[in-house]
Amino acid sequence: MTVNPLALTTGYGVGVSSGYRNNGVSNSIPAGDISGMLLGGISSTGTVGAVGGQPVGQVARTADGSTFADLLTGSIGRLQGLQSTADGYAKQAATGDLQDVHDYMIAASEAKLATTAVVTLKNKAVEAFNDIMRMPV
Amino acid sequence: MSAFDALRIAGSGMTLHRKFLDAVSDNVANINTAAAPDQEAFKERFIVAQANDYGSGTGGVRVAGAAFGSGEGKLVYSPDNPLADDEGYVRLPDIDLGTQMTNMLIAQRGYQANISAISRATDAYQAALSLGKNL
Repeated sequence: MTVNPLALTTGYGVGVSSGYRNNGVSNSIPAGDISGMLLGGISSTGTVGAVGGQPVGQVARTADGSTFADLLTGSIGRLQGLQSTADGYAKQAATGDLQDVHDYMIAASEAKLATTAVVTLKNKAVEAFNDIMRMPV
Repeated sequence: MSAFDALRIAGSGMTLHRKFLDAVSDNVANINTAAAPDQEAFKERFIVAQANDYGSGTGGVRVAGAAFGSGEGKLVYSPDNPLADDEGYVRLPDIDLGTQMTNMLIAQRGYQANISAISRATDAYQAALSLGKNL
């Protein structure tokens, strides 16, 4: 599968490599949707030309119909879950109920890694949005 | 299945070896626990490990339970012991300290090996994340 360099610069590399595919179905979205602007520039078909072929104001969706905003919201929700697991272990450590020290450490490093991943994706998305906003019209 | 399976799998190994270490500590702590000859001696503790099938399960290992050695022990002549019978014998557990020390080493090394797996996995995940930072 060819990786679209444009897709990677918008921080969508994870989605591309984990099998999300643009099925070519475009749905109309309200004007001004950031994810729409982002996804409008993302295509996993490997050709930048396909992006130009998309009508203005429409957004590419993944095979299951979700947008980049859905993916980001979902990953932030899962991140919240990991962090509350680590928080639960922290509480157990404070109250002396912690059975395994390594469980806490593993949960904490999982939460840290996931936070870094989500923040990296978010930074790339914001960076891409700023690039678009700076574009001379 | 999640992105951090290696951490959880190695974590299950750490839990197992922690319990193994607990069992060995228990055996060593009770190596001189005497009982009256008509009672059972302290039973040596063993940890039963069971693999979680990686293909269909979550991977890693779990503690299936604890197994116990023989309560027969050995009769030792110790007339000063208050638990001794009329002939002066008490029942001590038949635990070999050398075996326990070897098991302790195995448990410790197993625990450390799982820590290594976790730290390598963390390094690998961090390296993967640095891909996103430098693009």
